[in-house]
Amino acid sequence: MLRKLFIRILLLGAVVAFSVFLFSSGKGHTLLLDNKTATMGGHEHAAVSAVTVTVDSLKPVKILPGERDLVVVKGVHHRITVSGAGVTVEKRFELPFEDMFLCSMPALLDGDDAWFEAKRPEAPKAADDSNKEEVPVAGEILPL
Amino acid sequence: MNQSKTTRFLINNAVTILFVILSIMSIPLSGYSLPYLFQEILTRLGRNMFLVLSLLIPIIAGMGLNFGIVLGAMAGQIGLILVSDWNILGMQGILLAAIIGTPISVFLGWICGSVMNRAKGREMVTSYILGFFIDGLYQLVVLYLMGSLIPVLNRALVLSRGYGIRNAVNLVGIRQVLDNLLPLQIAGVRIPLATYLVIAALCLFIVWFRKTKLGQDLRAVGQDMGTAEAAGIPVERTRIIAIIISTVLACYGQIIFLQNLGTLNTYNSHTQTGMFAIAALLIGGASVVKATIPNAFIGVILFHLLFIVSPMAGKELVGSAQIGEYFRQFISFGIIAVALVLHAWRRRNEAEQSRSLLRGGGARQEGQSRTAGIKED
Repeated sequence: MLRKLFIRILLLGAVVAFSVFLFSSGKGHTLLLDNKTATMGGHEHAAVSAVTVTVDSLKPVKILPGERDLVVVKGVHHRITVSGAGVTVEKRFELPFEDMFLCSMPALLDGDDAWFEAKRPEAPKAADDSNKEEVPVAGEILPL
Repeated sequence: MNQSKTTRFLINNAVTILFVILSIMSIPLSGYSLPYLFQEILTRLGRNMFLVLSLLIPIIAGMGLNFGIVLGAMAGQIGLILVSDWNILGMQGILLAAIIGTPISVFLGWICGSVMNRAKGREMVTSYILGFFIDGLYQLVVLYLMGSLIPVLNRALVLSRGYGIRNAVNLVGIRQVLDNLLPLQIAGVRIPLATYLVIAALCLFIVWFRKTKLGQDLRAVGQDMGTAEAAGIPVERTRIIAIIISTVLACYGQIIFLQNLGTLNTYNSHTQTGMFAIAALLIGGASVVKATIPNAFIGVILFHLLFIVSPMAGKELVGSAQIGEYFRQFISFGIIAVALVLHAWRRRNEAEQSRSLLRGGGARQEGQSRTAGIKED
């Protein structure tokens, strides 16, 4: 009886551990790759000339001065490579729980440790009929 | 002898034969090419097969067609809503949704099985009505508790009033993740190999399960509950297990279904899951008391083939594609009604046959001549 209980607790623990692993390895993050003059960690970093950014094994993106691009990554551990202004910087980093991060390329190239910060995603833009309450509907014909 | 065999075959497979004839007639009318139809059938087979297979185990247990699979579908949807809120992408999202859905579907399956044990002989109508009841609870949770009592971080999921989930949830993070896990393309036809492997695994599980002690118990319970009870089989417990397995499989089936579509209609997606899955199984030649894996395959292929071609065939015949939409509703409900009528008719015939066997052939003849005599008088 005790053995059975022990096995059940062990199985439950394994499922919980697996769920935590799935959660952390599957968590999606949006990285806003920013090449604008920005103040990060109390220091101002001026926008640099066009940079090419590669995150993990994703397609490289080219960001002109004053522009911003975004990539979506999955999991906690990542690698970013930034090439521009005659230098190439490669950095490994870990992302916390938040959904969206603002990554300053000038700060990264300047070697500032506070080159990314969490950013709260904007609420969906209010449409013209935003005052109207969306009514849940049921009983429609379904796609099959 | 041969004639009676043919007649029996025709009666037993009347619905399937009717659908084959309808499909053969509709395909040329629709104007669709065969490669297109083949691709569509492959996609829909992968999308729906798991849900249809989830119906088999309660049939083995003699509990008829389990309309209660909508309970499992709701559990799967709750898992998907939470996964979308937490922004879990890829296969991790699908697996996590399944893990979240499993305890909910086990609990709902236990409720469903317990209720069915109190309504023996009327399992189908009981599970059908129970689906409506649990749908009410689901709406309470999703429409009022999510965003208020249950935290929802993603504001895009919440209704503008600040609580309750929107009508449509975009499953972009897990859209066709399973289908594209092992991409395979043969002669321009895309095959969702990973989905088919999951379906094959479920088929193997069902075949293996039927041979286990529990599977044998289920069959014994399905054949005669009284005898099974006398043989020491815990009938009620076995029936509850059958429904729990079916509900959990339906939960996974709904997740597979929705990952393929890529959009969750929060208040609609589950409502007719049971109806369409049951209709597909019956079209494949299954009955209320007997269903096999080939029945499920044939049924899904025929049901969806007609669904694909009927709007265009309707447009050609009547000038309106909308007729196809009505047609599929008509087919779903009509086919279930026909199957239930056939089931009642067969049971009455079987009962009459067994009664006449008990009386003995001679007695029956005597009875017939007596009746004839009365009529003549």
